[in-house]
Amino acid sequence: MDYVIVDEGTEIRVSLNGRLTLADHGGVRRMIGEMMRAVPTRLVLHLAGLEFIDSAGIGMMLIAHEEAGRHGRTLVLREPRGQVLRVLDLARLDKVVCIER
Amino acid sequence: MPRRVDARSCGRTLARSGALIEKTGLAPVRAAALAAEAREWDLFVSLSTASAWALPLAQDLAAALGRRFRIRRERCEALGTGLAEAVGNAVLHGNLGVPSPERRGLDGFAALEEMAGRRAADLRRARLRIEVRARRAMPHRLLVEVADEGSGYVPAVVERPGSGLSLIRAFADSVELLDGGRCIRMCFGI
Repeated sequence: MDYVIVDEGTEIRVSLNGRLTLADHGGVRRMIGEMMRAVPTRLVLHLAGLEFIDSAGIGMMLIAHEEAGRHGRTLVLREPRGQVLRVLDLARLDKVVCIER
Repeated sequence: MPRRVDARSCGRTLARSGALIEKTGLAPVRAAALAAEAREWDLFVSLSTASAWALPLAQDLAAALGRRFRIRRERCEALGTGLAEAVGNAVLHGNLGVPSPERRGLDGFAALEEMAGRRAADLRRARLRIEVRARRAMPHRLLVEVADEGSGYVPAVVERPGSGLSLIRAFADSVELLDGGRCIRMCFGI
């Protein structure tokens, strides 16, 4: 997985690309750290470029959500597609995190 | 630590022959037995845990099976999800014996990563084998087994939505746990 962080002024948009799996622990830790240092309090993970996610990736999304709350920020997941959308639905992540489809 | 199969040769070998047996650390008799077993399957992989931990194994397996059986994209995604979860569980919780994190949050995450890295470098665990076997069962079904040599697994009575096993159940047509949880047998429509 790779990611690009853009400060949009009113929100931080993080575009994720590729596959988010067990192998991405370190990258996601760095990404969460960078997101929490930004000024805007609305954090958007843009998922349209994410092709695949596994249960470890779901766990990472939940941790990003918890970290956002701890730092007084809000996390939004935007435009999940295909397998990623299906897995987020199966995990019922919309009960915990705001998902913009 | 056993010599690792590198990522390029893993993908290439699976695409070409459908059999990948890492012979480093194997007695000749066991290597011969595995080669004989491989002939009974359409795809057969036996790797050390050190290699399975370092390789994008599930992704390569799904790609090789997808090409061989011309599986359409949506079904390939289901197969890839099942393989990612089953291989991840076999390596991390099976052979490396890493429990699900007790602490949540970034700290729990870091502790899990640290323990997995330490155990993957432990020769006794790194040598344990991961096997993946796949066979076309009927014209439109694919049987896949993923086996480890860990201490086994008893599934929770109520599975958490989004857990590895719950995703496998959602994406596979049928799932069985064999050998005290050391082997998972999944059937996918293709």
